[in-house]
Amino acid sequence: MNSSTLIGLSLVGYLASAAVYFLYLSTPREGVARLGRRIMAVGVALQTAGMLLRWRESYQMGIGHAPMSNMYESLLLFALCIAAVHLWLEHRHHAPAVGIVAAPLAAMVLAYTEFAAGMNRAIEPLFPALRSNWLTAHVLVCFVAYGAFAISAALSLVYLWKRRNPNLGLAKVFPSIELIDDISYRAVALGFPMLTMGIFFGAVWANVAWGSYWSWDPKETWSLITWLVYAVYLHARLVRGWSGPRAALISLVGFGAVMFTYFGVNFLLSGLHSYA
Amino acid sequence: MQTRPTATALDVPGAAAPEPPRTPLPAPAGRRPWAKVVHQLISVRLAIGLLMALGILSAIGTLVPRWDVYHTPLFSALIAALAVNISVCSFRRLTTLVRQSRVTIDPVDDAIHAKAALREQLELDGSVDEQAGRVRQAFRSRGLAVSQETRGGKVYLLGEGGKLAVWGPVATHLSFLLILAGGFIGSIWGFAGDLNIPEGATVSELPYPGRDIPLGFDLRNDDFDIEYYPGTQQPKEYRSDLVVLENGREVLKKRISVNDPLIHGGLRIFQASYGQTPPGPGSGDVHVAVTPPGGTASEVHAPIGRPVALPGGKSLLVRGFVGSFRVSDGGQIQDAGDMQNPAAYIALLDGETVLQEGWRFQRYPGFTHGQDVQWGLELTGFHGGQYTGLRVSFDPGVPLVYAGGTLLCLALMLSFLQRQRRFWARIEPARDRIRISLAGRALRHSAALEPEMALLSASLRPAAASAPAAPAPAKRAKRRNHR
Repeated sequence: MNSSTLIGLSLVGYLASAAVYFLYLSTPREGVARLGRRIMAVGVALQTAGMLLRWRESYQMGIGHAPMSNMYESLLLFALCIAAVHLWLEHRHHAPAVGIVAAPLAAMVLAYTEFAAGMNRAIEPLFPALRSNWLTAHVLVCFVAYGAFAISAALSLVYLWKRRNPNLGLAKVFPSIELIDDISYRAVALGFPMLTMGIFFGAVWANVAWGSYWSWDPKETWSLITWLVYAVYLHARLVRGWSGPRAALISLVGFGAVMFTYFGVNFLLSGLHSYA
Repeated sequence: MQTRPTATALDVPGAAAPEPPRTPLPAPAGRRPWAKVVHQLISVRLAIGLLMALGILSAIGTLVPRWDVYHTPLFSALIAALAVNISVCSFRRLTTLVRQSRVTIDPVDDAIHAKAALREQLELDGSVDEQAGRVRQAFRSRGLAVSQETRGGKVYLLGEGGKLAVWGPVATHLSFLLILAGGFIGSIWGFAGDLNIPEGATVSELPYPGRDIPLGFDLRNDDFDIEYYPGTQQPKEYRSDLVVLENGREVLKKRISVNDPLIHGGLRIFQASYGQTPPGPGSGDVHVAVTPPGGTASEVHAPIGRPVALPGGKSLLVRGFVGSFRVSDGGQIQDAGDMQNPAAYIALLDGETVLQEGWRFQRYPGFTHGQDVQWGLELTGFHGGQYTGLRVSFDPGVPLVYAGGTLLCLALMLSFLQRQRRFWARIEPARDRIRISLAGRALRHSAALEPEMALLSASLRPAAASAPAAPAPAKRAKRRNHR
């Protein structure tokens, strides 16, 4: 049993979970949603085990670092965080709608890491600057935030779609738009503290490694922009009472900023984070 | 002591905070223009506008790297305005919270049981006291702090959860101010610069635009070293052995690496880069391929300025080396400094007599200025010293930034992962049974309490103690009919 087998199995789990959630669309029974959730939990367990094993394998190769150092590993983590945040939201707020968007999303991201051409899946040695325990803490909390924001954005899309087509049979399977709106907010309410912590850990790390906690590196700056967008979301929602379509739009803009921070900066701008 | 107004303030549906949230602040009287200004300064609308402006400017800054927007007066002014806005808002919120924290909530509240949006009623057997005990247990097991009162044969319970959560937002904003303050202090009194020290060399000043900054001590680089991953050319770690000297005495020795700086005298010294220094008198050597007339070539490593004996009583002397040979307009030999054209001035001696000498170029072997030479003397390589590239920084704002950041993370978790909520219970006899009325209300978004209410009432029902109620199936059945 090696790490890629386990990760492959977890992909099967996410796909099966997504299939069960689709079944829920035609058979909206609590039991079906519960089955989807349980399969998802198995997927999360398998993928966690797979990534821990990959961590161990890197030590056996004499490299020794947490699997969070390149695009492949970060995408693995992204899929895992989407699935894990979904489980947390369902556990805490009891809304199967999250699974209908989260399971296919996690499966899609993981399938991309497994099948995309040109994806470097090798365990590679770390640059000296990355050899720090802050790597694990910084990346992990950032990706929990990314996972939460992804779910919030997906729910915002469902919200906007259902609001426009309230009478479609498919739309009626989803919970009320008010609940979708609320869960979308809950995801931001989880993601925002995590992103804050991720940025702070990154700042502390930068201060330890480079002697400056903030240097307006493009990735840093875009993480700040993302943070500002979600800060606007929370102030608009909690203080000025924006919810529904306007909140959904800000959530989508926020996720756009997440995507640009994650991918755009690497491909379009250069800076300290250009390795991953 | 038991003040009703607080409880009713929470009754505003969807209210975000005890302070009037959605309703705009009372409009200032037109006679007092300063009041209008203050009114604007504390508006959340202004805060949102400032956050958006900062975000858009930052985005432009990353797309137009040549424009250092982050250090423009405009950017600073926006941050300053945000700081003022946050300060005023936080101060107002803080005074309200302090006032409210002195108010206790009354468990006896029949109005809540009649009006709250989230209500449940159960009828069970047993005695009032017995059922009150079960409700108290159920509240406690959900982490609610319980207070109790008996009035007119009825037992009233209040379970409060997430009491600290109401302090979250104000703590969040204050810690954000701490970070801004730290950043401000750093930008005024802090400095940073790069310091290259060749191996074996000692420096005492940090080169800085306009003026060199004395370190306050001497810093010696004993050794710079790169560790590679086994069997590869990929660097694993860069290290420098640094020694701090004060008045010629060693006071601190440390091997620094990329994630492990040296801290001394308020300065932090980081491993940032490294590079090659050309060989010079006393450091490194020059590699020369020596071919005697009719003989075969052999390589000699010659230090600069010191003759090396060759077979046959001859000796080789390298008089000078430049990393990048260039001749200036005035005919002077210069070093362009980029190691692009290494050249050495090599002499062949017989005792004190110079047999031949001249510049030799690594890139142009065989070029001898047209001289007729007997011996082949070719520059094949060189070994210089290494310098370590250090980043020296002084930032008195860091402790504030760290404190603010830590507090910010904790306060946000308190705000979002803790939920301020209150549950009321009234236990009373109803005919031959006991009626339990439950009501729930949250500071923020009472509808989100539904699952917790379902769990509470489920745990009170004798048979279904373990199965949390799933509200879904009933609604779903309707939907299937629709199809």
